[in-house]
Amino acid sequence: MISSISSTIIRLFRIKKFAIGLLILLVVLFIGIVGPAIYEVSPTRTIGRRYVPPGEKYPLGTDALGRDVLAQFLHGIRGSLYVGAIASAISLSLAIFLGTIAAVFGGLVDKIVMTLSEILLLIPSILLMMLLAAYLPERSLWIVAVVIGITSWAGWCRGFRSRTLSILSSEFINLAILSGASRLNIIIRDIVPIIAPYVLAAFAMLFSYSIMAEVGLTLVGVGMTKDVTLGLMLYVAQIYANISQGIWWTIVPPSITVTLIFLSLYMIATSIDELFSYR
Amino acid sequence: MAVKININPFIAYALKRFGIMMLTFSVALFLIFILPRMIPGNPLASTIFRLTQGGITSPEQLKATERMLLETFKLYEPLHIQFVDFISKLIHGDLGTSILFYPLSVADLIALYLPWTLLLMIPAVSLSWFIGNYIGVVAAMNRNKFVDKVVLTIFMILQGVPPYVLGMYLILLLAVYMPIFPTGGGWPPGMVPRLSVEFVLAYLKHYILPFLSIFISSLGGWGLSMRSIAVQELASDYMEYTIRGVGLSQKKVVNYLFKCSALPQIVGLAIVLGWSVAGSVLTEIVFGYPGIGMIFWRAINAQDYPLIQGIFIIIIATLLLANYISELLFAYIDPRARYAYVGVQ
Amino acid sequence: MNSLAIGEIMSILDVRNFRAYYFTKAGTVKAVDGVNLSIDKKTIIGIVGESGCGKSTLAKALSFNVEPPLKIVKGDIVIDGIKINDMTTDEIRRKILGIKVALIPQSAMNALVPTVKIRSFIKDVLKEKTGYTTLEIFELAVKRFKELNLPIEALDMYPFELSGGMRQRVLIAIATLLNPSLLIADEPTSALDVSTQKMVLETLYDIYRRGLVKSIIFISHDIATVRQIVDEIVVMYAGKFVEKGSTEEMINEPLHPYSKGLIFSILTPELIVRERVRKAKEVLLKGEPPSLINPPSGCRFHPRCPYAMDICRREEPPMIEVERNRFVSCWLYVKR
Ligand SMILES: Nc1ncnc2c1ncn2[C@@H]1O[C@H](COP(=O)(O)OP(=O)(O)OP(=O)(O)O)[C@@H](O)[C@H]1O
Ligand code: SF4
Ligand SMILES: [Mg+2]
Repeated sequence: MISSISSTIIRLFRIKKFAIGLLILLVVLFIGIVGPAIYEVSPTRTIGRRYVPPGEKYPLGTDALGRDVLAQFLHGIRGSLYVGAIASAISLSLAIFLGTIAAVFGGLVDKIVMTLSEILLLIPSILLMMLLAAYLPERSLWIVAVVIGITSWAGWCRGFRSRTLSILSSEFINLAILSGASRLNIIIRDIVPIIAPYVLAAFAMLFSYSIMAEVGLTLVGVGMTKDVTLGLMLYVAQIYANISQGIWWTIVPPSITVTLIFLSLYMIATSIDELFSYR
Repeated sequence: MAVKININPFIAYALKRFGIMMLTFSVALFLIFILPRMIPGNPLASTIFRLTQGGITSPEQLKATERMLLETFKLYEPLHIQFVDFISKLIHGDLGTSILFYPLSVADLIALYLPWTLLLMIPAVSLSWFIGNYIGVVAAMNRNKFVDKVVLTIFMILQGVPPYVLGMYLILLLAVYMPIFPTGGGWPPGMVPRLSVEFVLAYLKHYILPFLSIFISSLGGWGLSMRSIAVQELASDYMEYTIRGVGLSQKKVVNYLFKCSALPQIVGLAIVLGWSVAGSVLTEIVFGYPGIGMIFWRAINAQDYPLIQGIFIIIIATLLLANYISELLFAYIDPRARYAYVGVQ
Repeated sequence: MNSLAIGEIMSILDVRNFRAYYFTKAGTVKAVDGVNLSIDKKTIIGIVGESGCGKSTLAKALSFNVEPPLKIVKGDIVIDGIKINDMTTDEIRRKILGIKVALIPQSAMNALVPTVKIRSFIKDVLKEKTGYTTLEIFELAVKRFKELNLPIEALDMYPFELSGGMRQRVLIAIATLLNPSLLIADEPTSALDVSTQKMVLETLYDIYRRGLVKSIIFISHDIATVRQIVDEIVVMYAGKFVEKGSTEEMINEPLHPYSKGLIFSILTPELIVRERVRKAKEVLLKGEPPSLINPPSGCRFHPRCPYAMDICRREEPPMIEVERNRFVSCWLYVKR
């Protein structure tokens, strides 16, 4: 068991795509976690003239309100990572929980979960988010993350349901049922280990999706209002028309980072998927 | 042996999907209705209160706005009456009156701005569908070769770059550093849309960058999904027979492959076209392009609830309808699916 | 059509010591491992053997339907006097497939592209191979469909609109439109019910009788079907031919122990009685076909053979001609 897990991990690392993705992600994580602690400038206080270009005094310049862009950037990464982590944890738990109980209990439970997820799939979650967020007067990191989390579980829920169903119909589960194991027991002992790689892939995808969703929501004007995130940086840059003035330093760092986070997680998720589906 | 179409299964399928669409639309409408009223502190009521307190200067306009808002939302009535009123107005096509663009009605505003959004999205999405899919098929034919790897990498990166980010870079590059195109807007300020050469040329100049950002950023998604569909198709018995059993030329094989693999992608196209309105919001914001997305943004920033609500309803309606059409289209267009659903024999 | 000048001296097919292997991660699958086959007159040959013995691999290799991991390792293929190994893939595609040799693949049921009508498929294929006009192509197709009693309407249908047997027959018609010398039909009748099988067999025989093809290699695991139309039967086991003879002789008096098992297991019991085999175990095939990655030493059948001797484990039996045109590869028949 242990050796098969480690050999799987070794094989994962052999996939170049996975290694590159993980490296990028680790760098971004490191910057987001350690950065704000090392660079102790407040991201929200005005510290100088507006639009000072990157230089010795302010490594990434200042923004429209005379705030330090590097500080914003470091805190923004941290904020976006928070949003991603909270939102994906919520939607992943919902997806796993609902998908698995739908498969295990079947019948009415299954019907309800499936209809609910079908409706949620038809109404794109980004719209639901906008709808929810548009009416919330003050939106902190937590609120935005929760809004993203509770609207994005539907697709993965169906995935977990069908995986669980196929596991349930396999031989050894039948044996477990015959031997009188309880349903909960079966879920924990037999089903969870098999779908673990899928969970990992789902987490990676949801994480990147949530970070993107925050940026989208905030840019539209229904997202973050309180805490600094990459989305809020872009929003401020957008509101003050930084792009058309050629003020690149408020735009390039957050937009590249968002793209990198998305790409790295996408690479990780697809590598996991490829490794486990081509066996 | 004659093709006898037994229509019942198809109609049954169409009806079932219609039911689900209507159910979803009702849920969406209910959410649109209930959310602002349920959130603690009733943001709708407090905003309306705030709006009627200040902001609007002339007393007549204040009165009129106040009356209009009370009329639109009927917050003084019990919830169920409000809901019935909400639905019956909707059925009559009455989406209320905008606060921001008072006295224009929401329906008129949408009719005014929607064409610009469609003019941007439909050509950009369709062209990108065609070219992305074609490249995807070619990549599949050359799978694991150099061309394929290059295409895969580029497409993967493109897929990760949202259109609005791409738009920002296009502006920086082609409008700021190399001022070839304007930085935003739909046409030069002061110009009025009309069908003249002068206007069309000016419009096109403003059009190219937002068009490119949507076109390029959707290439990746189409290409990648097409490639994986085509790779599966290539492993099928019929492609194997066509390529190696019969020995059809590469050119024809690409053609066949496109035909087989494009069918599921047509469904995707219909869905994405349905997304047009929703999907262009951010790009329009970045470019200041005068479509639905732009007024949506302004509505949100001005807390123009009738307009926000109206645009939500329009977006969801187009989406659901496009989705429904795509489902029927798929069942109809793919001979295999038609066979499964309709039971040709 | 006049490629044969006088008589039929030119061989239709000639392969010697032919080997085609799959090079996989798990090892080299020696699916066709040294077979000799030459056809020098108009005939239908049946190749029979258990599942996995390499029949389809042989069919694919002989019709150049070869792609990794499958590779032709050894042996020249000469069709109609043309040595084909030296030709490029493109030449083979343009000059050989459908013209000299045609394959009905084992998966013929799904061999036609589902989104293309039969008519356009025929047009696309023949346009490239002949330079006929569209009209000429359709005239040819209609004429051929009529000859073979196929409904003309099928031309305007999608493959899935045809029943299984019809699909099979239409494919046979399409594959032989250009009168190839050799038609290789891989299990054309499996997966069909008995009455449909009969129609497909008739179509195959029709094509042969009308001289639309010179020879047919009919591959099947089912001797009972094969014997209905073939002149000769070849028995294949684990990548090798083990016995060859006329249909009559093969059915009535199989020599190789494996052939006996194969034939007795499907034919009527009175044959077994006639053979006076008392011990049932001698004729019933037991066990599984061997792995083709590490085939057994000596005679590949020895682990399952009731007559296995010492030498069988050590040395490979040679293929010997016991009577005229009757070949068997078994130590029991080697006079020492
Ligand atoms: N693509 C492949 N890669 C590796 N091994 C293969 C491949 N295709 C077939 N084989 C192996 O080659 C051997 C011969 O296969 P082949 O398909 O020729 O058998 P067959 O006699 O046609 O059997 P059947 O009656 O099942 O069609 C088998 O052991 C099979 O497992
Ligand atoms: S050679 Fe030996 S093992 Fe092989 S078939 Fe003949 S008797 Fe049996
Ligand atoms: Mg076979």
